[in-house]
Amino acid sequence: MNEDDLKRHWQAGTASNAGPHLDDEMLLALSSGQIADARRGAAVDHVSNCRDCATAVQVLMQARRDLMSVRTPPTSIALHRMAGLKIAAALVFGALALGAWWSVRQAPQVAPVLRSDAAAVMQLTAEGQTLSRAEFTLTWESPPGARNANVTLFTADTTVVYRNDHLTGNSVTVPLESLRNVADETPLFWTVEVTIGDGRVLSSGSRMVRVR
Amino acid sequence: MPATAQSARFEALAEQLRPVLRAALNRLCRPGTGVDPDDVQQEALLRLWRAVEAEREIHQPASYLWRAVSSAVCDARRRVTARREESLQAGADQDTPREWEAPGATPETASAQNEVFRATEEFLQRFDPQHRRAVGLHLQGFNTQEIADLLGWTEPKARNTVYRAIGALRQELMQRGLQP
Repeated sequence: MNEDDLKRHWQAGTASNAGPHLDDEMLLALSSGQIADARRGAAVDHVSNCRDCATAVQVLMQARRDLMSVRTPPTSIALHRMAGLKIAAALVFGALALGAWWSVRQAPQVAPVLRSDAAAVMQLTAEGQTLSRAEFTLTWESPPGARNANVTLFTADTTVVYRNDHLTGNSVTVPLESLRNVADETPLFWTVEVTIGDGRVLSSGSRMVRVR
Repeated sequence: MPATAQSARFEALAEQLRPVLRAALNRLCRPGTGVDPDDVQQEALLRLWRAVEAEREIHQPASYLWRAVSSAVCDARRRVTARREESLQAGADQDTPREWEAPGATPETASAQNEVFRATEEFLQRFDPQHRRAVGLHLQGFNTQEIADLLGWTEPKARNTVYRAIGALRQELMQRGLQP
């Protein structure tokens, strides 16, 4: 027995539920998870047996998720701080370890210095630009003496969608595979960090792009 | 607030609202329901504009958008229900295919469908209310995370409950010789 058929039969059978249906207040409370436990059982009972109310709850739950994904945190500074803190912590730790190693070896070289300079790496892909997922190319302009770059693409909650630490050019095309679970129009944010000849790391700000 | 700033704020909110609203309304106001999603969307945007106009500053844009979407969804649902009741009263529903009916459905297939539904209902009566609700929600098309959220369960609990119950239900229907 095919499960889709089972669902179809159940939905057909419960489509003729004449009500009374859940009122607006109950629908909203249920779909936003803010229903009192005392009322939850009866409300869910109704939804499981009423196609109309089930559809309304599904639509509201989906809309809520959609709104959360497009919500407006694009304050680049805040986002950059969130993602940047993680990256900076890792880099600082790495730099300290490297420094300790150098001092033990009494090597004369200077340890790399982390420097954040938003103006030093210019992102050329426009803020808010919508890119095709088939050709999702991010471009930037590196400062003179750039050796390599790394690009991080992440969501509003700082989940990394794509990262490449070994770039030598001034652009990267994000593979289709990395964008498979990203819904159309989801705001994504990207940063680029460039390592220059003397070992310093120069960071861009974070910019928002969308995928379609 | 100057009119241009209001317009800019409205446009920024409306830009985020439109795709979410459109997806929700398209699902509720399907062809045959007699409700035009464009009408509902237009009114939702108008309400948003009035809200923007009335506020000096919007501190929580997300709550504005949620209010706009949820009131539009409730509005659309009321209209669809009202149109259906009008159709039933006018006896016009007989010629209008319902959303779940496959084109060309025959009385035989409708009867088989009804038989499976009744058997499923009977089967579910054997479960305790919470398990019955979980399976009912699954059959309504909710995923296991949504079921967990609605019942206040963990997702693994919802998944295991549904998985076992659906397996048992399929066996039961097969034993009764019921095939969709």
